[in-house]
Amino acid sequence: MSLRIENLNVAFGETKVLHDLCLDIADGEFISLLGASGCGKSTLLKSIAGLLEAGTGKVLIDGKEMNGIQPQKRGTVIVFQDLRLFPHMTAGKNIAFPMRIRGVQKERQKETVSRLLGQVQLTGYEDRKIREMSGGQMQRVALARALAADPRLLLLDEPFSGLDERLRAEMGELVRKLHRENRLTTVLVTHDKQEALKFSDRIALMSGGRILQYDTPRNIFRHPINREVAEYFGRMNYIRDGGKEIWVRPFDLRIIPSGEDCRVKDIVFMGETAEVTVDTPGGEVLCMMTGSDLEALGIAPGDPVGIEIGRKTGMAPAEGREKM
Amino acid sequence: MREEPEKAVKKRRFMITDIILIMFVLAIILPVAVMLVWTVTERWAWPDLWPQVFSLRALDGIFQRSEVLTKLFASSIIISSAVALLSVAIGTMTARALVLYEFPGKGLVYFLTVLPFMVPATVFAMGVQITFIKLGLNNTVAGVVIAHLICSLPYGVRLLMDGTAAVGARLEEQARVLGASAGQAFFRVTLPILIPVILSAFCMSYIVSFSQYFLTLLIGGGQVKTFTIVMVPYLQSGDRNIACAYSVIFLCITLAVFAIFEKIADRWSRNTDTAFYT
Repeated sequence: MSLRIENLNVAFGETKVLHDLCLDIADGEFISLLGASGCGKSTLLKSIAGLLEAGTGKVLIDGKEMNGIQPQKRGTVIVFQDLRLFPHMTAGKNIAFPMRIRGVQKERQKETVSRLLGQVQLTGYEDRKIREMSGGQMQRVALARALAADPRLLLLDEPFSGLDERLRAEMGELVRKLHRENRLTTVLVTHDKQEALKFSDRIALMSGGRILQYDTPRNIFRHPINREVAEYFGRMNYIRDGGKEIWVRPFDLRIIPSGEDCRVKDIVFMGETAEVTVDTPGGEVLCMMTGSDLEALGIAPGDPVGIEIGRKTGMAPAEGREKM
Repeated sequence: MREEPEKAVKKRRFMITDIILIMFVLAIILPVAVMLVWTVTERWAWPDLWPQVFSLRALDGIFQRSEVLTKLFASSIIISSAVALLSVAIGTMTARALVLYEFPGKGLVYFLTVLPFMVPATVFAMGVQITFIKLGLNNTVAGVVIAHLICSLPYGVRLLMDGTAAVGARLEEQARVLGASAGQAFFRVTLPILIPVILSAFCMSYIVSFSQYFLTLLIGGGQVKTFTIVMVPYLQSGDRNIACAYSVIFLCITLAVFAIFEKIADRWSRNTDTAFYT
């Protein structure tokens, strides 16, 4: 299903949380809402799901206006950061909850629960109590329960934030897989840019209740519309070249051994990657390369070097690019 | 060597808990034991430690009136159960309003709900009586139930506010987005988790109502008879053995009623394995 948000404003008392927010999500897309905590991501999800009344503006699902429509009739399911599993039910009962509400036949409920448990790799956990489960297992149950509600739109509110890195990556893959297998439309709220870049079809970067840029991972990384967006996704060099400014990511700069006007200032070796700071007539620039490239280059602080901007990688700020 | 001070601390702590425990036992068991002895005592004059004359007069007297007494118990239990049920129902709703919602005058409403804690029943009883006479509620069971409710609601509201705050709105929000209506979210998610608190509030309200004398007398006007109404005159007249026999029966009935409540609550949340504060 598709989602369209038009000029949404939400305020808690005097504090405005969302400002004239617009967003368009096509059927089957995987979208990440990226931004620091407190930027309004969770508020946006709750407004979409109907847990918060929109101040002004519209939320349209499949072209139908949702204002005044109760949460249970929207077909939007949230998996919250704190998971919110029902403590008085077993894992199986938790997953069956949405089906029990809908009055699905007992037999079908059972089938679906065991199928979903299989999908999240927890086969046989039907009768497990919630407090006997690990964090990762609880995440999986929460996901399975959300899927049992047959969501038209799955909203994930930082559900992996409590997990260690390995488990986090695993859960990310699982979500991506479930998204594909169940043909869902998914919105993932996260503050992890790697996660967003890795899994999304498009990323909406939010700050202060507004969407700064909404674009594909490649475009938002390569053609950020302003410095704030650029720096959110990694470091950036702003190089003056004649009258104009060129924005170059540190990985897009190449150091060449022959050259006179630049000098290596500092080298930081970090194993797989390395950072080299170079003094140029236009100011200091930062280059990043793989550790093995650095070794092949064989440079030391103080060495005279040249700098080359990779073909097609140097870029101007994406002025005039479509914002949404 | 190093373990020794630790052991000493442990031992001392045990001793303190033991002393507290013994004091509690004495404070509860001793009066009950004395009461039990009194039920079969005819004469127990100071300074003797043991009664001089035993008799079954008090028990005989009570058992001869068993038909009247059974009716009395029944009406007392029904009145107190009704009070407790209403107190829990109103308390749950009030607690939800006070904990989960923001509205103007919230502080005032909260203050009013706990006001009966601060003002003794004897103070507001007259006002209640005058109002009830005007409303035609005086000398009726409904009037007594409402009057008892005034005293027991603060306990219900306070207890349920803590419970509601602990459960919060989070789980209901989750239930809503999973397809439940507001009612379903409450009855299927919050209510089963709240059962232990509801049981406490129910018992508290029940006992407040069951032991209410002054209000029952004033509002019931002697027409509505509860167990306390019949028992208190014996206590005051110094007819100790009969008063003690009544007290023992009072105690037994209360324990029995609470045991039944607990069983019902257990059965209700049997499948749900309540884990509070999770």
